[in-house]
Amino acid sequence: MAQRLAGWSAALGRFLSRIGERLPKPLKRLGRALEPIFGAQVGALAVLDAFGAIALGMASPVFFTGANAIAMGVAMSGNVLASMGSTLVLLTGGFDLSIGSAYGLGGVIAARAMLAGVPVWPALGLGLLTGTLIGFINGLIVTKLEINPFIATMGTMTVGRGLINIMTKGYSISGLPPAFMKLVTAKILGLPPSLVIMLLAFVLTDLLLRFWRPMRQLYYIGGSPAYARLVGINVGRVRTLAFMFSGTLAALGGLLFTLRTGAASQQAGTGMEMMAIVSPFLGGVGFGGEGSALGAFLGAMLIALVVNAIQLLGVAVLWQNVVIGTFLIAAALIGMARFQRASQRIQRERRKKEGEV
Amino acid sequence: MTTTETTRSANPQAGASRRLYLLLVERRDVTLLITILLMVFAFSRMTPYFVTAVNLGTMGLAVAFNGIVVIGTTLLIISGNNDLCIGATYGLCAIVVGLLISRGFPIIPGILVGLAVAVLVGIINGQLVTRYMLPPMLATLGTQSVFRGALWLISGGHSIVGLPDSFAVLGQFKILGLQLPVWIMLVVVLTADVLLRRSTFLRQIFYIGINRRSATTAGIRVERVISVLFVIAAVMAAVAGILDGARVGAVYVMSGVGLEFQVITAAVIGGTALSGGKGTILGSLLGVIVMAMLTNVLNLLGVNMYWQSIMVGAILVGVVALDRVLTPKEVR
Repeated sequence: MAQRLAGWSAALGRFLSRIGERLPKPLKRLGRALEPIFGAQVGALAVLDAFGAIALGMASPVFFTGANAIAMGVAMSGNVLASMGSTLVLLTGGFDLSIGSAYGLGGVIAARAMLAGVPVWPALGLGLLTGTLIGFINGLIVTKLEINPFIATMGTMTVGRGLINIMTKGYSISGLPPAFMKLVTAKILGLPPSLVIMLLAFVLTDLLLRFWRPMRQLYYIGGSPAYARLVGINVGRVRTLAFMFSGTLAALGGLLFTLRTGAASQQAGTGMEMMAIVSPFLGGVGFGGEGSALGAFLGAMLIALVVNAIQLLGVAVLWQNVVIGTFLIAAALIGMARFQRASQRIQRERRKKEGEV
Repeated sequence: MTTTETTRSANPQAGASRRLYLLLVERRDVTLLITILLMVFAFSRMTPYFVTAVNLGTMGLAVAFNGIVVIGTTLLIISGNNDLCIGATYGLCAIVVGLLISRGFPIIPGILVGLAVAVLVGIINGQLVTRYMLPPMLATLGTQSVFRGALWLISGGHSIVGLPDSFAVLGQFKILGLQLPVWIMLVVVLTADVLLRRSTFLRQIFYIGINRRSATTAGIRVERVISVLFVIAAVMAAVAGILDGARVGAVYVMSGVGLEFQVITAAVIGGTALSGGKGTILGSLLGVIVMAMLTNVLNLLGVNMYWQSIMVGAILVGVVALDRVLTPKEVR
């Protein structure tokens, strides 16, 4: 089944590119660009997202309204921000389980700072820096002590969650200063700040991953750390950088959550790390050297669609876990089938080459 | 064990103190046993309530459930796999049994149905990992979500309370002052430890964990062994989950949440390497005991519950880091 789905997706890509060949020149290039996209999981996911949205639009009259679009965007913003960071770490073949704690701690530290009398913006900056610090610590543990990222970030996850609970004493921190509460209802270009910042972060991560050298190097490291070292990449530094981005983006998500709710909850971000691994993986970010921020974004969108559908169609919330888990397994199966096709093709070509020799 | 042999052969002329040092670094179970004795000594000085029959019983019970679960996890990690779906299995099977029994189903068949669910869960995980070649971490992350969801669905989000005494006796019956789960844990752990040291089938998982391809070449049926391990892990989780339900006489929907992290932490503290090929059941059990003792003494001392999670995280990273730093390069 998974084989067949991967095949269909690739065939769709070839079909579109063939149409593209018949079109005038500028569109021709677009057609050629589409083939690899549809052959990959990203394309399949985009199609799935689109179909999902159309189906949902037909099933519920509310779906294609501006208000619902904004609500959905705001709801997925935390997961998108966390997924962007998680993608960077996953690309290096690592894991970041501390994302949820960084998300929660960012908001809590900012809130505590504000209550202690720090002005709003420096306090928010402090929250953001907390995330960077968590990422830096993760990076140090993983690269300097050479500890498996799973264990290292599991440790910082537990420590971070403990810190959150101590600082909040198990309650949410509310009663934040009026200067901050004014921001709660603030808009950027008439849109909620969460939505705008999420889109900015997504576009920026995608561009950086395509054009900025240290981020390009993430792919090499994920492909093979040993070779990456041989070609002169400072593997330790780049990996640490990825963890720092991951922590910072997660804390940014947490800050926006605090901004939306006007309080720092001690529960904020629990389980976020799992969603932030599931979303990129749905979007074809494999363990090591493959994938894009676009894929992770589309993956997060699929999850948001599922959640939105459950809310709009009045399905029991209890189904949510099952649906998302099934999607994850399906995505993994398709990804594996695609990988097998690719390796079979490489073997075929190698055999052909040997035949010529 | 092969690791101790390499220790000796690497340093034939090493002095006695050096050999002792290497032994301590290599044999995590010995080190942990010493640590535990020191902890008991220190804790009994800190609070008079630590070494009392009641408290030891409480701690034994706390060790019992995680001790049963950690067996499966350890075996999987040694073979180079991992299972994040254990907590969900723990909860799901307990809920299934709880639901059946609360609807008047006879107890033993009810438990058998719960165990059958566990076998099914194990088979699904095993198939995803071996037949469809998914990375174990991802496959079990997916199934975790699915089975936790299944738990929510069949329970409708409500915990099951007030299970009959004839079921609760399984978790509360005392032999020589210790509850039944503790005895079950002891029997299962000892059996598993001996089997892991002696039985051909379980010895194979060390080869698989060290080098899967060579294991295949050497004629080990890698896929079948791994499938069986996933079933063992799921069944162990189910046994613990059901006993836990019996002990309280109720099954909660949140039962088993985060359990996988607890047992992986315990196994790692017990000297199991996440990279595979190294570990003992006894070590993992000692890891569970260390964690339970820490939690217990912090509770007795009235330390804020939240500090415990910080300490667990710090200890986890600290132990692994210490292991890295202390182990000489040639032994690694």
